[in-house]
Amino acid sequence: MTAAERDRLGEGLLAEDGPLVPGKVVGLRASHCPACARWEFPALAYCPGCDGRAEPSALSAQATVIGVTAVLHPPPGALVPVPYTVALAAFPEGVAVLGVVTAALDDVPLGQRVETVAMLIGERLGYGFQLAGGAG
Amino acid sequence: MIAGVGIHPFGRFDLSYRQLGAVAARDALADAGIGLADLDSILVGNVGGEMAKGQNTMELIGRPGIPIINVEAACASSASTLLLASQLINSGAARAILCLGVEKAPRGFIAASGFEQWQIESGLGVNPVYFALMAQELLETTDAKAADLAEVSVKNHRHAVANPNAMYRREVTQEDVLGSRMVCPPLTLLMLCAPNEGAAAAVLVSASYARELGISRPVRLNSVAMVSRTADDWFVPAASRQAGRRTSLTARAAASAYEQAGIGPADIDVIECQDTDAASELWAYRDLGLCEPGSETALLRSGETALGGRVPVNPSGGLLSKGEPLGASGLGQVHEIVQQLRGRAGARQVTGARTGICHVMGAGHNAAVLVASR
Repeated sequence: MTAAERDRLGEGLLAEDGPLVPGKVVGLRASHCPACARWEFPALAYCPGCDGRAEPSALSAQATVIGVTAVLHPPPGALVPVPYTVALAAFPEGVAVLGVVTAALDDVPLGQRVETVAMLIGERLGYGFQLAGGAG
Repeated sequence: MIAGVGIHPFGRFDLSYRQLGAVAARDALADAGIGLADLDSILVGNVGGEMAKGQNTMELIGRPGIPIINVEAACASSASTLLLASQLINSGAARAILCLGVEKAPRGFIAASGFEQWQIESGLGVNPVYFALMAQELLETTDAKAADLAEVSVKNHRHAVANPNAMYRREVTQEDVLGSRMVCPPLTLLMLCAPNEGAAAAVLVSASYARELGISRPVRLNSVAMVSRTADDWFVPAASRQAGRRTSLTARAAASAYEQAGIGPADIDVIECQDTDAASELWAYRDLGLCEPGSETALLRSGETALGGRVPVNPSGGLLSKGEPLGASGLGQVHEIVQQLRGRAGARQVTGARTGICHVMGAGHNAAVLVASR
């Protein structure tokens, strides 16, 4: 199996439907409420803010780290080798998403800019964050 | 009214969950001085057990033939039984209900907290990550230091020395806590509770039935409030939250419980709260209204939340010392508060305690606060 043909992890996490290779910068598939402008990830059919009908849309690729920690001992079922860094990254759309960062904890200060990338998790493609240029 | 409480100590045992539950249930009935035949129904809180767990547990005690209903709300499962029981009794639909919480949780990370498979495989299905991020927020936005997180654990372990129902009954120092192995920075092993095994139970009765049964000195259950997620809350297992705002499930549950009971935070003498990790206890100080935002560490450092202080928090040792048998932890808190209000808590007695509260938080966005008094 080539990287381009790999199965996706989860359903509809990545906004791009075409072939993807690990490391490609992508947007996450989220939902946007046209009535109250609220975003949710993963996408929801109805907006929890106003109960209106939400529409699928894509988040920007870049985000800012507003929380960060690391996992040092292997959790059951995880296919990411320890130690790994986990960030809560705030997107310009106003939603903050948890994701693994491909950098050591010490290299991910609060305010760090990251970008969303397709990440190989086990045999499938999910998402992660990598460092983007410049602290934001 | 709480007519009686029972417990099987929290820890790890060569007993089935059914046996653990049977001990707590029998203990509560004996404490209330009533029998199975006096009950209208039995509510059982459990997370990880099998089909018909309450029925299977009660089989070890007797066959009362009454409804046995199993409820689950993660670490708020016990609280769910108490909410339902109090509503059934207050409505007049029941006179006496046994609430039982029981759990036999495996060691280590809790494997199934409602995460989707992609979260688990992506390394994001890790409860302590959520607690670590909340701890980091506290460290970043208040004057809290790692030493304060350690001090919460030191305090609660000191309290547990006098609690025969706790798993860990050894005092620890700040150096022990800070030097224990790092789990998810800034949280070390001794700043996190250990999922474990145990059971606790309470018999709830109506005021008139308490008199009829001749129950002496029942403890009043003034209110039970439980909330689930609204738009801007964030807890396990949500993959995202709103970036600029976060509301508190605990604060909403507390406000409701206080309003129903007609009390305020200043009226509380003793608290059992969900110290899943050391930072969670400090967040609870704020969300339960014990202090203004940002004053959590000042309250801790003042000693007011330690035994001997104005409002001792987790005199039982909390989950940090007792361990956390998910479905039983809430009723374990009730067991402690009832002992405190009766003045029977021995060396960990809060002098003159008249009003106490219990607080739990559960995965899936559950929080509950209850008020009890004598």
